[in-house]
Amino acid sequence: MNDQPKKPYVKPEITQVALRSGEAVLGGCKTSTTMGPASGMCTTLTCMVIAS
Amino acid sequence: MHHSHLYGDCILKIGTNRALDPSCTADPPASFAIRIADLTIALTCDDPMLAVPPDGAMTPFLVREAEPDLRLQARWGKLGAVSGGEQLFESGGLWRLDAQNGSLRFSFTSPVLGPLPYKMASLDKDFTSGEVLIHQPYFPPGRAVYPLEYPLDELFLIHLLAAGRGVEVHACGVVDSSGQGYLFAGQSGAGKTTMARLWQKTEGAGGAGGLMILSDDRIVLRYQAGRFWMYGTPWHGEAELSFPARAPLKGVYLLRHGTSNRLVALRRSATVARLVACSFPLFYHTSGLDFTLGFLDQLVEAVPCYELSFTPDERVIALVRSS
Repeated sequence: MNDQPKKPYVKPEITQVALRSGEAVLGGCKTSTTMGPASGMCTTLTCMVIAS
Repeated sequence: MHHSHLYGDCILKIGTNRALDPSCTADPPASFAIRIADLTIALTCDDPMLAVPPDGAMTPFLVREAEPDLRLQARWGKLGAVSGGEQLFESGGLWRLDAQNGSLRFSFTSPVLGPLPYKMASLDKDFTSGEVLIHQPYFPPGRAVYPLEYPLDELFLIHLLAAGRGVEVHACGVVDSSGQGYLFAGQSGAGKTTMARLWQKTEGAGGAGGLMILSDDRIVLRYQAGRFWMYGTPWHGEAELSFPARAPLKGVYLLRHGTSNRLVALRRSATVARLVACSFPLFYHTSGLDFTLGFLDQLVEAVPCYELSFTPDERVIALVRSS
């Protein structure tokens, strides 16, 4: 038998964590002139959406 | 749209696409390789216009190694509309992924260029080799194109990592003068670049044996030789900090802006969930997703993790060091 005392029951909790889909899927444009969101504008020719 | 207008100025000045330097045409590179987090992607092409190495922040990640983890061939083509196969994922942005005849096909489309894909990449199911096709009619003759232009380069890396190798996270990676790695994770606006600048201000950077910022936006985490490591990537944030090095991971700090500097230990499950939200999960890839969750769970068990509320002053560095 295990002599260790039982741990007190802790009711499971659901915690919502925000996932930013635009960032998580690499769907947009991160690059400016230097492959980073250094510019407020999306300057890569092929990109229309700024992601990070 | 008239291509010369589209590209006449832009391709010469903006982004990774650029005109081939005339001095290069005599001895054009037919291949190049990039190595990020100890993973090598090599690309070859018969046409030097498609084998121009990347510039900018990717340059320090260029290597001469012969044996890549992913071997790619690039060529020009005339692409049609995406059809056939089984759609696995639609990013909602530039790319989608389909499975076709046992291979994976990434298709990239932009309204700037037109309705057809401007690029397709087909990879074998093991992700060891593939082909990148560039839609020639969208690109004027005589202009060089970087076939792995973002986000394809990073997509390749996260797929290589998901095969049991590691996880990339949205984070700033700082290596202090003793070689210890501090990971500051958070989505856009959480303070990654701010944190990098605070460390620079406090400890300086770039000196011999001094502070290193591996990236102020993207860090790869891997488990090797019995410990967790963090690796620099070329994908940086506003401070444009990136460096091709690695360091053992000493602590993980989930960033949030606060009214004071404070460290809070979170429950393991909450920490894993927060890290997943800062990662780049392959939602369509069951085993990859399973690996990512398991990897982050083990990392949280092995490495001290905290939520770090902070104000933009240097005292937070001392707090982190004391943790």
